Amino acid sequence: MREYKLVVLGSGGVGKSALVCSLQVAVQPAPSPTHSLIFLLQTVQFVQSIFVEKYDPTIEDSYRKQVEVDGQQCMLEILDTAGTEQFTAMRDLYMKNGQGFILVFSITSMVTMNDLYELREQILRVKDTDNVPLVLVGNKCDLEDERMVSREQGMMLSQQWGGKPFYETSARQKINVDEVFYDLVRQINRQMPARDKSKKKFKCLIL
Amino acid sequence: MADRRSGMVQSMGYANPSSSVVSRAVAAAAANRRQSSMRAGRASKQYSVSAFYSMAAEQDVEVEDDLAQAQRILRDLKSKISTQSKKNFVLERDVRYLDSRIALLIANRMALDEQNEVASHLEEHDDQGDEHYPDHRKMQQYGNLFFLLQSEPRHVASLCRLVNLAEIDTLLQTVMFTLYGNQYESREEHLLLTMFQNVLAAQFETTTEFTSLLRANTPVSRMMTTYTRRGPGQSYLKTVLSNSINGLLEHKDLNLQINPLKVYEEMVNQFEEEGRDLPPGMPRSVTPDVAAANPDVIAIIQPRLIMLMDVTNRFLETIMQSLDQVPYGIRWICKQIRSLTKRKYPEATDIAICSLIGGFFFLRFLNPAIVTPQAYMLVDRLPGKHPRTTLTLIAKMLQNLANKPSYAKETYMIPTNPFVEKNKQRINRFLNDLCEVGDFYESLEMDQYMALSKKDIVLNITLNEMYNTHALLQQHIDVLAPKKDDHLRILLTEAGSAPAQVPRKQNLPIVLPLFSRWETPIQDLTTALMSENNITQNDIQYMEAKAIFVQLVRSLPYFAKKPLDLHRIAESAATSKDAQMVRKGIKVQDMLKELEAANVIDRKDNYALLAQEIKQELVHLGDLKDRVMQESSSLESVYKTILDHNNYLKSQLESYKAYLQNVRIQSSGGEKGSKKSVGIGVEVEHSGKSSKSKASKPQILGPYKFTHQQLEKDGVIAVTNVPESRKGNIFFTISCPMPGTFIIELHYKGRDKPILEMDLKLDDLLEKQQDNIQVLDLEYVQLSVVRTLHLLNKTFVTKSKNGIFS
Repeated sequence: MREYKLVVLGSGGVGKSALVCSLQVAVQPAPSPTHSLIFLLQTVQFVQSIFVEKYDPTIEDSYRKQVEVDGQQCMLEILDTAGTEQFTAMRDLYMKNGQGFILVFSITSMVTMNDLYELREQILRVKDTDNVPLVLVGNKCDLEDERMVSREQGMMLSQQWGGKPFYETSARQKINVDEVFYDLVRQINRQMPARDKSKKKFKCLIL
Repeated sequence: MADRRSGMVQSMGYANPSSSVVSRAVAAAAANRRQSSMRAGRASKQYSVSAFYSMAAEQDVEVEDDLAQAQRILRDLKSKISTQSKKNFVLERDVRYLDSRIALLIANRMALDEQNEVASHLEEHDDQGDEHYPDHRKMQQYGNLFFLLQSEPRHVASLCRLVNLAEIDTLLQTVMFTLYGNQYESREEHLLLTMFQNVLAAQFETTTEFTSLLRANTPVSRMMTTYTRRGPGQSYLKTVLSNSINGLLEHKDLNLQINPLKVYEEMVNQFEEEGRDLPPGMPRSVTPDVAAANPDVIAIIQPRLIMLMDVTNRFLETIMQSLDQVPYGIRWICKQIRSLTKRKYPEATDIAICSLIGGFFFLRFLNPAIVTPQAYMLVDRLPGKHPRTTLTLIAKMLQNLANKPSYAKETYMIPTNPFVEKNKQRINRFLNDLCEVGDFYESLEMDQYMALSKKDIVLNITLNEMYNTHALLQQHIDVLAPKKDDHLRILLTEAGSAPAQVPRKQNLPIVLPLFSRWETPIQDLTTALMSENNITQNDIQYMEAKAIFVQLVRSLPYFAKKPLDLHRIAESAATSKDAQMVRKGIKVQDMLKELEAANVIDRKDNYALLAQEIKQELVHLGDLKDRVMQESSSLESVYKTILDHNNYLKSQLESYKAYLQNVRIQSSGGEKGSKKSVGIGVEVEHSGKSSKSKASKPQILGPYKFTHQQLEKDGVIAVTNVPESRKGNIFFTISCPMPGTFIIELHYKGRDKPILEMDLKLDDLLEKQQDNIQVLDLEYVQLSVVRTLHLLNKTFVTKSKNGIFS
């Protein structure tokens, strides 16, 4: 089974962890905490001045999920990163290790989209190439009332980035979440066709 | 400009024809009188204050009287300082005015010298150096601007909300490391925190999603980052974390990975490295559950888990013991978060509030330094793979502890829950203790007095910082200072459009002297914080109400012995016999009403939150009398300093006057040849204080005569209203009764007396030129300033052959 090292990036509070957690897995071992994870997304929100107790910023989490893409079993190793800007010094390392990147913003905040420019620049710099498997994601598309970034603006940005795919997702309502990950896997497949031992391939990349 | 001139009128006794100047001076004097009479009124009420104190608490008569006396001394001192600093302000303004005049004359003189000698290389050099470098005048304008920005933090606070995230980094850099860059000086620290308070409150006001305040990257979060990077924050991190982290780094082979998947992977790798095949039943890649169930994996993880919790515990221990070393500003921000949260989300539990404080203290301050210590200069090399993993795990555990989620996103972290369980009580107490620091509102006023004693305030700033701030202010000026007479607006209008950013090579640091164009009154909290466009009125009012109540309770100490009844305290003050107390009492009564109307506080619970915060403040403040005495002695030295400064300024003014006269003589008296006029200048200097008329019998040069036609041809006359037929009858004479002073007369042939006479100083003319005033209005004709200067220089300075003797 081929392994894919994916990195999820974006500013704080755009719903990166929620996105990763609501990815459907092909094999369903489903330990009980996972359920509450999906539910977690709602608890992260504050609506008006109703105070919700928990929020849980990520420093660096990693997940391994097995999914089926185009009839192939794939093992995704997903690194969920800190959106908190104070942790930027960690970026270089996980950018070096990642093969594909999911850049997430929230459609309810223009600023979160603007933050992605810098992230993409850094990826290209670290990878030293213009073409890195990448998906642009506008999360929280269920919050249509609070939308600040239009679909077109997202499309435009993805076009600017050399026609990278753009998805609007809702981690809460599980809209388009799986597609994001599948798309990225396909991109990696196209760009780096699997060899016999994916492991070795990955090691070469590091060097 | 006019302000400066009025200073001249007062100090130099020069007659100035401009009537607006006179009226300004009169108005200023009237304002002074009004101020001083107010002060006298206040002073006369002192007796009733002490009377009131003794009435209020009979058992403590003696103590109260001592206190009242100390307070009276303090107030007297403050008023003396205000008066004196006002005088100093006027003197300083005059000195600066003379200074700029002298600079103009010297520049003119140098330009002439250059014309005479062939000094092309010098010019070239000048061009290069001066291209981006602000001239004397620009420096003054920026000096005024940055003084205003520094002393009134509300402008920058508003600006921080207006600029976008791309612009804010540079702005914050300038604000935190330059404008308020002195990190160990309480005034700058307090002003910075005041600004912080403003932006923080605004963020609370506009955010509906409360968590995004601490999660999203907003101006506030940027401010927090930048703030923690200042000296005190950095040295705290170093003290607290450096040893622990370096200790870990030394054990570079210590592997504390507890993620079963990674551990499994390590096992697989080991087989491969040793060139062995994987044993049957051990697939290369497994799901988390399979890995976690693997007995070998479990055996490896168990001891690591214990070790990891032990290490993290030691980190936590060190952090908790460091409470007293946490920089004041960081603790104060924690306190703000707590206070704002309690107000905006009354239903929030203590645990929830703690997790928000932890969201700042751990997430934004400590943990970034733990996971990437190299970025905080805590280590001198990059952490290796294993230490890096360990540090990340430690940070995650600390963050879990601070946030206490009841779940774990990553299953493998669940075994670390005992650490959270064991420490959650302690961490809550610690986070609350962090908030236990006093406010600095009380010191803000003192800071302002102390600042008065500071002479020669300078800012070390780069050109680009200056220009960038200028550009941002300009961009948002309509929001920042909508009114025409806003000081900020006046200064910006004068400064003109912001210069473009200069190339890095030319981006030199400069020393910018700061001074105020206007007298700087001692501001209260509201004035310091409120601005036209303020959206944080409630919060600022809350703060000020709190500060006033603290003052009232300290003046009426018997109230402090019972649970605080704010309503009664306000009423007692409002109906007391002391005017100041009455004023404060009434003001705070109004504030209570307004705050209640805005649902910030509630009478029904006796304003519990506010009362509680006031009580906490009182605890921090300690004994009032000690404080008053302490302040008095500080102010005593402030007063002495500004008195000394006054004497210094007076003598400086005298020598500047003499110097100006001297420079005028040199500028207009020509080359070394005219020693006589230099002699006069020296004489002026020696002949004593009244420099004006003592200059015995100056040598009058001229008058030189010029015809209308000639001046028109030379371009000296820019516009003429004289009919063609009469031009032949008009002629001008220019004489120089005193070096640097010229009299231009307009004559009509056949008349004895000139139709028009104008008294002109060379430096006046130079100033006009600098101000881009093109023409000199002589009613019938308008003279070109540039050409006139040229003519004067030619005629009187370089002993021209072209001059026509009459």
